[in-house]
Amino acid sequence: MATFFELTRAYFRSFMREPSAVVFSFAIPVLFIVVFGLLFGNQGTPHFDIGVAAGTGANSARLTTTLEQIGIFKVHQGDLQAELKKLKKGDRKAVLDVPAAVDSASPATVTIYSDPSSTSTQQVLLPVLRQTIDAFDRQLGGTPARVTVQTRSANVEDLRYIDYLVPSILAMSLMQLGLYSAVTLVTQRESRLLRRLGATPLSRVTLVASQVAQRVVISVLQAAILIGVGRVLFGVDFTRNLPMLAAFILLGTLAFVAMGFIVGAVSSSAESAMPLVQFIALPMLFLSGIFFPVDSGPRFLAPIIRAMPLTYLGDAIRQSTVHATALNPLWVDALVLTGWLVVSFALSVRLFRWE
Amino acid sequence: MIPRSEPQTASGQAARSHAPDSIDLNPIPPSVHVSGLVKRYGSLTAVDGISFDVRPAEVFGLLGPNGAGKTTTVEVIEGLRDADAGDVQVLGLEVRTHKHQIKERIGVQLQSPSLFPRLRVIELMQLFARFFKHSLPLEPLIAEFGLEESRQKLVKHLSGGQQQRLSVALALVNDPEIVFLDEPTNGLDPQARQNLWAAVRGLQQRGKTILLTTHYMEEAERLCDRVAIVDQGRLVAVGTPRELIERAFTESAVTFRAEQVESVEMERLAAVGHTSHDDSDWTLYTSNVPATMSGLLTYTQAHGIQLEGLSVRGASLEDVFLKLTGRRFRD
Repeated sequence: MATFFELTRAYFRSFMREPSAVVFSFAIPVLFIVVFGLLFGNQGTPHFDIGVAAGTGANSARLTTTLEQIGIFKVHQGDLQAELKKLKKGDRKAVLDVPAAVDSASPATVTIYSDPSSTSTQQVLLPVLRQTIDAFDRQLGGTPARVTVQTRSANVEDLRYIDYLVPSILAMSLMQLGLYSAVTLVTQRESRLLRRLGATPLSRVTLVASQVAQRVVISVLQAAILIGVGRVLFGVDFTRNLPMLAAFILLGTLAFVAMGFIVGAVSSSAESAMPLVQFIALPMLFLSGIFFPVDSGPRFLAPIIRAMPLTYLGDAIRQSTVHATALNPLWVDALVLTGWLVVSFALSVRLFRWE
Repeated sequence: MIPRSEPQTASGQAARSHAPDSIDLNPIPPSVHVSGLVKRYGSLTAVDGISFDVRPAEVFGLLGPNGAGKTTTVEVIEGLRDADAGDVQVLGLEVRTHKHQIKERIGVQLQSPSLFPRLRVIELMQLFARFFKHSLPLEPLIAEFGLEESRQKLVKHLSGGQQQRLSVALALVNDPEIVFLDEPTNGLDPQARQNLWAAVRGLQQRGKTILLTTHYMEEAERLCDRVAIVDQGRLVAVGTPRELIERAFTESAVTFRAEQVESVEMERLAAVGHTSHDDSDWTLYTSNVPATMSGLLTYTQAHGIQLEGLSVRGASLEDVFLKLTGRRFRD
């Protein structure tokens, strides 16, 4: 065990003393977050999605049309409970409950549900909605006002782009870190360091475990840095489910390190390992929904996207941090990643070469 | 490449290499026992039936050109590779089945330094010390190999000679009974080479057995108690450098540079046994130096041939290699 710690420390030190590795692993992801965050972070969707639960009468229809004509609303009509659920998930900025009384001649009260903590909703959306309904009421021509407005708070987990981005970048960094273990492995083989270590009583298990442990330690550091930057610069709250986050950081790192070991085993030199890593990493970067949710890609890509481990790691990390809309239940994410881990590990053990 | 048969050594080479042992009445078992070792890489037979013993506390050298199979032989002994055939024992233990125990008791230096480039010298020594159950105090070892000044330096910032010394020092952290040095002086300047030789002799005086490979004739002749000459995966001869030379030659070698000289003419000179030449570099093996010299001078004067760098020396291992393999020793 002491050997394991000492060797892990040796690998860790080696890593931390390699400026390019440190920059690549820590600074680049942070840079991504900052750049994308500044570009798109606080810019909400260009229109406000609002839900309207209304009857089928002429007045209800006219109110809906009026809302749509304003231009800044995208109106979704639906059942009140369903719309409120979407509000809670952040898919709606506000939900209007339009009672059936609006279509009769009796007084009616429209209820607007919204998130009290969202300043843009409170300062922009609510006044506009109020004015719209007041105007609508005047058109109906009754004095005193026949249709009145009341607002209600709904507990909403509002998801901004940056909230989506930061956990995704974390997933991306874990992938990069894991896959790049290929290069480290090949370098050690090329320099015959593996062979030298093989000439000592050091066991193979310790040798492999130390390299994996080094990656896990760096992953945790990466996560801490990204969470810190996300929190300080953009107020992203990551603390939703820390144990789950930790579990997926571990699982993701292991799966990608195992994949990296396969690449390391089949590459003859560091120069040939590098492009192979990119060949694996780049498609995942673009197709696994790291920068944008991929729900509108060409259909033929769907099975590929569904096979990519990063799709699941990103999904799992978003779910355990910021309550993004789940692509899959967490157990499915865990299962797929475990599958990748087991297959990759078995394969890398089979393909492993000392030189 | 000459087609080779299976481990045929049992009779031929084994007999030759075992001959010195049979007259040695020392009851202590050999530190290393290799018999009929064969190692193939695909269709290439790198080691083709090598047999030899290394005795306790001797400096034993495997001498041969690059690609002769020296490194492969040593790596099988170290437990880094499995043999395809043959019997290899280290400290009386079967290598194939006792790798772990053996690795605790041997020290290994590989041809390239093979270290963590981004660790400091002291960190690397501490790390390697951890790998073994028993290890030596590190400071004396660092001092012995002149690394005190560099103990806080990153390995990659060391000079080639320092890295080589560090690599030998690392082979000693577990106070091994046998030390394997693969081309330990390769790429060292003459001074550094002398220092390393001194260190090897120091180890021997402390009772360590040293098995080294080299392609430097001079190193084999001056440092090794016994030498095994390896060529194309086969063991050509084993013995002390003196034995090998005396066994192959009773002659001295006259060497010189000259253009337009014919082999036939040279062989006709008085007392010349045989000759060899590499372009205009000639070696005449003679049993009577004055007779040959006078003949040579007469001949060259008569034909108006310019002689350069004329010298006489006793035969060397290089001559032995040439005689035994029919080829000049090259890197």
